[in-house]
Amino acid sequence: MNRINPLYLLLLSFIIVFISLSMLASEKNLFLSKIEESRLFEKMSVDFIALKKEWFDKNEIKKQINVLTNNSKFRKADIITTFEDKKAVIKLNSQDKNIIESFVNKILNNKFLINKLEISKTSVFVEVSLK
Amino acid sequence: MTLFSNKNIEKYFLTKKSIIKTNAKVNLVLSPEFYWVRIFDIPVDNEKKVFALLPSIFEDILPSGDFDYSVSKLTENRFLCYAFDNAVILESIKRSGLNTSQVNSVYFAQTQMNDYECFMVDDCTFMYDKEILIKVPQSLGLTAVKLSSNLEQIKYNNHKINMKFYSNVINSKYIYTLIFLLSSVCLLNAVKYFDYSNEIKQLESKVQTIKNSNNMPKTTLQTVSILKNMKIEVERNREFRESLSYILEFKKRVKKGTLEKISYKNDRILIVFKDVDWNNIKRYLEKKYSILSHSNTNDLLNIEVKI
Repeated sequence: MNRINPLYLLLLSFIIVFISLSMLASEKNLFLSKIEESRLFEKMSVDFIALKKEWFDKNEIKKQINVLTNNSKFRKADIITTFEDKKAVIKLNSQDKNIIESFVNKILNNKFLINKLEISKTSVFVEVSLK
Repeated sequence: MTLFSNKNIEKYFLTKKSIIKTNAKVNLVLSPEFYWVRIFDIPVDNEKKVFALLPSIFEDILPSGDFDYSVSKLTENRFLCYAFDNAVILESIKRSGLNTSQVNSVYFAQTQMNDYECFMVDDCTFMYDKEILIKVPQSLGLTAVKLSSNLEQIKYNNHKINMKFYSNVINSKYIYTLIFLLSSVCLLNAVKYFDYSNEIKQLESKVQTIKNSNNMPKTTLQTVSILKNMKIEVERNREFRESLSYILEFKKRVKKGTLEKISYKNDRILIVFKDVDWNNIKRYLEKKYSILSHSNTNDLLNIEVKI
C-alpha cells in the first residue's frame, strides 16, 4: 500500500535539488577562487624563484665573489675576503686608480645585496648580504 | 492460511454504509460495491503482463474516471481482474469513522468470503453467482447468513489491494516523472560537484608541487611576506646603485672639486668632496635626494644624503 503521498516526495526532491544547487554553486565559487589563487601563486612563484636565483642564492653569490676575487687583475692588489654565516666582507687596497674603479664596477654590476660600501681613492670595503 | 495472527488487528467488512468504531489497527474487506471484477481467459503467463492490459480490458465496462487495477491468477491463462476507484474507497474509509493510519491492509471480498455462498452485512446481501461475488437486493428474499461487520471468525487469503492512502489533484505519473527529472538534475549536480572537487584537488596539488620543488614556504601568506621583503631589499639595492651612479657623475655638472670618499650604509650615503663649491653641489644633489647634514673640515666637505 502506498501511504506516502508522492507530493511529499516531490517536495523532498525540490529541497534536495535546491541543496545540491546551492552546494554546487558554493563548490564552483571555491573552484573559481582556487583558479584565481593558483594563477596568482604561479605568478608569485615565478617572481619568487627569479629573485631567489638572481639575488638570494647564497652559494651562487659565494661563487661569484670567489670568481671576482680570483680575477688576475685584482689578485695583484691587496684583497681579503671573509665569509660569515649571513655576510661576506671584501676589502681591497690598491694605489692603482684603475683597479679601484674596475673593482667597484664589478661589485655594482653583480647582483649582490650590498649592506655596506666604502670607496676611497686607495681602498674599497664592501659587505654583501648572504641570506 | 490465517494471515492475521496479530491479535491487535481487528477485521472489518466495509460497505458504503459501514460505521466502524474502533481505535485499533484494522484490516478491511471491501464489499463488491467498491470494485468491478471479472474473470478473463488471457493467453499470457503472468499477472504482470495481464496488469498492463487491464485498462483496455475494462474500457467497455467502466464509467468515465480514474481507476486502479488489480489482478490475481486463478489457473493457467485464467485471471481474476479488478478495477476500483481509489478515491471512492478512501472516502468511504474516512466516512466510516476510521483514520487511514489505522488501516493495515485492504482486501477484496471476492476472494475472502468463499466460506459463505450468501451472506448479509450492514443490511446488504451478497452472494456468489458464477464465481463472482455480487450485491443483491434484499427484496429477492434469499436465505443469507447474517454476519457482523467485525469479521473475527473469517479466514483470509493473501490477495491485498495496493491502495493509495492519499488523494492528489495531479496524476501520480506526472509527479513521479517530475521527481525523476529532479533526481536527474540532482545526479548531474553531484557529478559536477565531484568534478569541481577533483579540479580543486588538482590545483592544490599543482601549487604544492611548485612549493616543494622550489623550496618555497609552506603557506602562501609566508611566501607573500618573504617575497615582499625580497622585493624591498632588491629595490633598495637598485636605488642605491642608481644613487651612486648619479653621485659619481657630479663632475658633469659641478666642474670644480674631487670626490675623496663615499660610504653607504642603511639607506644613507656619506660623501666627502674636496675643493667643491657647496652651493653647486647642493643644487646638484637636491635634485634627487635630500641632504641630511653637511660639514666642512679643512678643504673637505662632508655631506650625508638619504636615498
